[in-house]
Amino acid sequence: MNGLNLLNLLLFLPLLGAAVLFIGGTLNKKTSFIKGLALVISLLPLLVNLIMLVGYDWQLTSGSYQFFSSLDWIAALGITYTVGLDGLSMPLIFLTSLLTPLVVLLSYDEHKDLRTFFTLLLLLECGLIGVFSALDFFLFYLFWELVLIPMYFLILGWGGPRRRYAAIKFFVYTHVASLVMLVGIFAIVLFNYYQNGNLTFSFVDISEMLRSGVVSLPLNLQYLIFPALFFGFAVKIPTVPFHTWLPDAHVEAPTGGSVFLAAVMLKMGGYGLVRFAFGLMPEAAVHYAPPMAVLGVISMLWGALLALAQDDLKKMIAYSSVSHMGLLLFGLAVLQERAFNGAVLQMFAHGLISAMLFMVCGILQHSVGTRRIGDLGGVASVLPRLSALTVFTFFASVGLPGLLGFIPELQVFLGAFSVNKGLTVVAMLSMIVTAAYYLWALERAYFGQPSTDLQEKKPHDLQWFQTVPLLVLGVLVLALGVWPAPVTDMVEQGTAYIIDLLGGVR
Amino acid sequence: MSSLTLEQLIMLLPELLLLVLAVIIMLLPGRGRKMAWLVAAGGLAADLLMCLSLWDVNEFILGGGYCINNFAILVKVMLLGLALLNVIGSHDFTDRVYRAREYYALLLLAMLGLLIIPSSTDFITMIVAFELMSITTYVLPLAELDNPHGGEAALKYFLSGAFASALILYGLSLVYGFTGTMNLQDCASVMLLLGAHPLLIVALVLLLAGFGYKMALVPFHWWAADTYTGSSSPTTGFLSGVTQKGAFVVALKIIVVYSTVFAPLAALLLGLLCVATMTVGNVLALKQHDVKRMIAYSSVAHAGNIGVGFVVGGSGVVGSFVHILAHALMAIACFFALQLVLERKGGTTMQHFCGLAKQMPGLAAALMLVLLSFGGVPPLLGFWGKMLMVVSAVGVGGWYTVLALILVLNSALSLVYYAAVIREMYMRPAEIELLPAGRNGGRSYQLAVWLSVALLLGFGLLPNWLTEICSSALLNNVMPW
Amino acid sequence: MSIITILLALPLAGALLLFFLGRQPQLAKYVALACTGAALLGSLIMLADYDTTLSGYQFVQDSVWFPAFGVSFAVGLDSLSLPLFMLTTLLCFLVALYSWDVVERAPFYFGLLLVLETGVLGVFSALDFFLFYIFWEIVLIPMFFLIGIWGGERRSYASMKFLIYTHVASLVMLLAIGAMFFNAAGVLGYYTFSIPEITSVGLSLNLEFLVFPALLFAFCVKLPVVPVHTWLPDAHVEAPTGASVLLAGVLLKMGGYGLIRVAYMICPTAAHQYTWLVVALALLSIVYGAFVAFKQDDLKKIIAYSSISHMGFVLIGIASFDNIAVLGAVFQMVAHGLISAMLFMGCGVIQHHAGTRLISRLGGLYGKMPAAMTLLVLAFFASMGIPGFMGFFAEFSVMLGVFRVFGWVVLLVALGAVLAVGYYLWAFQRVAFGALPPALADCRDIHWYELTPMVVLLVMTIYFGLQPDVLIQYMNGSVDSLTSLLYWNIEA
Repeated sequence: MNGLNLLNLLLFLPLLGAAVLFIGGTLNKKTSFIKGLALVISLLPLLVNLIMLVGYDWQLTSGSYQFFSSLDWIAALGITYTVGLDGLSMPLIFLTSLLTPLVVLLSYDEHKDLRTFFTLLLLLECGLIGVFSALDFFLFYLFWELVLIPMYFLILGWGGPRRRYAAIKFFVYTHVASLVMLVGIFAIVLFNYYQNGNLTFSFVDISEMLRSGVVSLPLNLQYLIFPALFFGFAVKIPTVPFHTWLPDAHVEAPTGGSVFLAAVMLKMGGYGLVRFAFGLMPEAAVHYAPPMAVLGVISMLWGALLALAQDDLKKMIAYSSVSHMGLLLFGLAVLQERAFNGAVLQMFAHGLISAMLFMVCGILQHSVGTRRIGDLGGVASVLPRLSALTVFTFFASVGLPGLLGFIPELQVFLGAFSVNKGLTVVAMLSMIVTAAYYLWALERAYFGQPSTDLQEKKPHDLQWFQTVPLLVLGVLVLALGVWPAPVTDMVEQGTAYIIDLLGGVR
Repeated sequence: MSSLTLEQLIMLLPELLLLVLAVIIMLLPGRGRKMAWLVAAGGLAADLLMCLSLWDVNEFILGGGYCINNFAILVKVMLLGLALLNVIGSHDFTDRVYRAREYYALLLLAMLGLLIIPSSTDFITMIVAFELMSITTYVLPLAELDNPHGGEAALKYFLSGAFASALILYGLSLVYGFTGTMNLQDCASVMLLLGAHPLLIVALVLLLAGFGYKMALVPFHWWAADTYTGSSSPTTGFLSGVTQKGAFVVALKIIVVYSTVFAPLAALLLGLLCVATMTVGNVLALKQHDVKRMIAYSSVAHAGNIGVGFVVGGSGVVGSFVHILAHALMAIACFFALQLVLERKGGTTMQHFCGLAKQMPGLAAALMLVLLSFGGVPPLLGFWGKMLMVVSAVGVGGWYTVLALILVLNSALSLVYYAAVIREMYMRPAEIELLPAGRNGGRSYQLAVWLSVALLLGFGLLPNWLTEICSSALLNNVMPW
Repeated sequence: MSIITILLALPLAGALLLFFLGRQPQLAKYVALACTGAALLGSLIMLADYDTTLSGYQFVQDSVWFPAFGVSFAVGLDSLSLPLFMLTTLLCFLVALYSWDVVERAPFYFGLLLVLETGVLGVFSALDFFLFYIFWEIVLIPMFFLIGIWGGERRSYASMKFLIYTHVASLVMLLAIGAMFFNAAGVLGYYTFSIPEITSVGLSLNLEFLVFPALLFAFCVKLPVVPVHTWLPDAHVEAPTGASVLLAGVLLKMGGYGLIRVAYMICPTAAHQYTWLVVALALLSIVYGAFVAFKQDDLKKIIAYSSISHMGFVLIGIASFDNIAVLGAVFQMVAHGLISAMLFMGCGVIQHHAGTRLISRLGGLYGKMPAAMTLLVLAFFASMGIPGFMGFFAEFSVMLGVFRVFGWVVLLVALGAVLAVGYYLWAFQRVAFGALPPALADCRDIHWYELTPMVVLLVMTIYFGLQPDVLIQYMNGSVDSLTSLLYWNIEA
């Protein structure tokens, strides 16, 4: 169990690839070479990941890890190199390794320095996979922070006009949150140290101690630590009122960056919340559940309403992410098994769908030159293929039955309704608003008469490197929407033990 | 009273030799510059060797009125060595502008006085020797013909000296009146017998004031800056490096006599004087623009430093002696360096030091070391004396710790103006061109400077030998009983 | 003779050689590089001989020097001083390389550099208070000249301020040493300045409460700690790059080293009683330094103030008496040594090629000097405590220990780390991006002799950041010996 395995390969392949790409790109500056090399390199982790999927052990009991490896690292502080995955992290890791080649493809028409751009993407991939597979607090924090750096440079180097402001805001916001989270981690680690005299940062060891009752965090301590961790993760999710960095970052980030930001980086918050905050301090989670649920609902509604008010298509999608992530929080906080699973599934679903959303939005921007709904109109007649996919994507995001987006919403609302009818009804209002802003945007931007301006421009419709990613994702959204069992099973396998801890209503 | 034997005469040979040589120099034919220098330097060197040979002799001669012990020999050797250094450096100077014969004759006579002081066992001998030293040195500032400030310097020195002599004599008359003896040992015994008496305190105050003038302690320092600045640098080096140090020896002897009864009071009085001296000297030096005047005031401050060791006593006195030697070396080196700067750049204000490091790198480097030593930067000798005094003071504890703190702070303060000179030399471009070098190019100055620096460095790196000798010589030897 | 003695003598011999090299200034840098390189090599050989399983001093030499006062030439290294010793030999070598283009009075410059190396190595290896003090003072002189001669416009003011400030502090230290010396002499019955002996004698409580504040003051000036920090920004701003590197990289560490070796080891009780004061000072430094860094327009001043902030981590780590935090503090000293060296080198590159360090006059440099900007931003990341770099592990350990001892005070410490992100990124963005001022149209990228040291430092920073155990094995002893003096009792 302690040896090196495919997960380690998956984790360091992008890092190695980044180095290869950077050096290769320096030696051979032809863009076609760089593009090809980047695509090949980014496909390798996906390949590894697919092999891992094949070898995935569906029977493993919840709460234990596959592809587990653990090595001593920094003996002085009991820090280990421990990685592994379970049903909770596998979908997110898959999401990451899937999106990387797709984003590489999509970014073929980025305007400058593709070599550095792709290198940063690969570094980002490494960081993200690391976050989802790390089972040691130090390692987790390392990757957690490491993710910031490539994203910071992606925004700073390839972003829109206000990129500098957005980049620093993004960095500082999330860094503050990380440090608060770190203090929370300290508290847990030190408490474990006092109680059993073993200084370790290994999440596996600590959670083992907590679950077996050798170590028990007293309630008043949990009530202090939980908010610290929650704050760290909530900024990342992001939950209203900690969301203000997100629209800025999204609006300014290049399309590839936005895709990663929305599809994967937001999930870090949700993942951390489930794995660490809920998993280690279930009592505190129960204690704080009502305010969290309310916060989730507020995020859903407030995000949706803000999305309704946006003129910038990308900003609208950004706020829709806030709204959808509210659903995640709400689902977790109602403490009901089905809702909980729905919430966790929402992370994966939203990952796929928001990736598509930002892709179509980015492609539109690239070919038309603007994202302002007021400047658009009748895009459908000029760019029929893009518009068709956009409509598909929007419906997926609204939660059209038969598509993946529908399933988590259904699960959350069904589950929540059995626990708290009033709040669920309020939350469901946001669905109406969501449908409203998507449809309204479609009507204003895509249908109707195209402006003369737009016609004269003769914009490109989808090019092959844009079509492929959208199709891949679309097929997945459709297929998993029709047959969600693989991913729901996986999620249930991952969450079962946490739900047990929470003593959730079944 | 035993008669003077040949052996005793031999023991007095250093003193006699100086007397004879002084007369010979006066009788030299013509201008006799070279010859005078040669006789003075050779005589001092011979004297030095003779004194050295008297180490560990420990005899009373002349009916107990003259004592030769290790303390006396240490002082003599130290002062002779310093004088020799000064004379060596003065070669180029007297070669051109001095009335060489008079200068060296007076210098040797002053040295004669200085040699007698540490050996004296009674007040009369001591004071007579002291006056011999004083009176001859009053004239020294005048020895240079074309020095416009020489007159003022000599006059101030003379006036202050006369005033000091009056105070000292008056104080001694009180002591004599009270104890009925002029013998140092008897004085101390009588004081011990009779205990403290107000009149003795008055006498102590008078004596301290009198020697305070000679040591240039504040508030009796007013003459020092003008005399030191007004005199030509070699003279200044001699005054502050040699004769002023003689005053310390006298002061030490008187303090030891008094310390039988008045130790706390004498220490307190002298301590206050030292605090005032260090602080005022440094503050005044800080304000100077002329480096020579600055060093003059810094000499005042260093007198205060030296006094601290006397106040503390014990190993502090060793520190004082080390610092006496250190300061003498530094002063001699510094004033010769200043003389060279004066000759090559036409002045000694801060401006004249700009860019000196590029114009005269060797001199600048030596001067830098001297200045750092002044400031008490280890491992130069200037550090060790202060160090010993501070450590001793802290070791005694009580208000001596405060005294040590003041010494330390003053030392830091002094570094401000020393570093300022270094800054001018090394970090400013030259504003004034070099004048053409004189006939000898001031080689003898350079020699004296480098000799001093070598000693400062050598003793600084290996201070053990020096402090060992000092402490063994001082141990029970200050007083000849 | 111990290898340490040889390592101490080596640079000094080089300096003497350079003194006679006035006529061939172009040779100076080769001599300096050879000497510092030999010292580095020698110290590496020594490192290979160092036995990490032993506690106490190794490579000890104890020769009588001044027996009347118990002064001896005693040197040796233990787990506290060894890392700093190595840091010094490394940085001096890199600075000699980095200063490849110094032509103005080159022999003097490199000579001072070598004297400085001897002084700092002496401070870290001296086992005799007297020797310690002497080396401590020797360090001031070359730095004074380096700032005063090769510095910027206000160099003479800055050099004087540096000299006076630190000299006052060391004189106060001298008083404290005197007190300790006599106390030990009273107990032992003989004079000794030996640091181990005086440490084992300790002080009476009353004396501890007198001596500790003096030592604290002396070392805090060096560290430096707000409010006695004001010499540092001036010195840094005016100093030439090489001097800045050594000032921040090595000289500041003398303060931290002294605090641990002298102040805390000898006065543990008083130190414990004064914890509130030290912690308050440390927090003040951390937060104040970071806030002031925000307001600076001069890139070098930002780094200078960030140094103050980062040295606050060292101080609070030491003050916590917690073995994790003390480990973090010692680690932070080494980390900051490497990282600040990188920062000042990066800053020097900008100054060198763009001709100014004022952020308001810079911009868009990424297009002109991508390599330099990449290194600079990596140095910034290292300094702001991004995981994977050494600085993070240090801050991490300090914060962990501080949290353990002082609880939520750690949030104030974290505030320093957050602010660092702000001022660094803001500065970087303004320097590297935006419009390129016309004056900088033809500035070129980094030179090889600037690149090499920075890359070496970067690699080391990342390596030790990911594998801190490699370094920690040399440090454990020191941490244990300090914390064993006063164990913080677990209050569950």
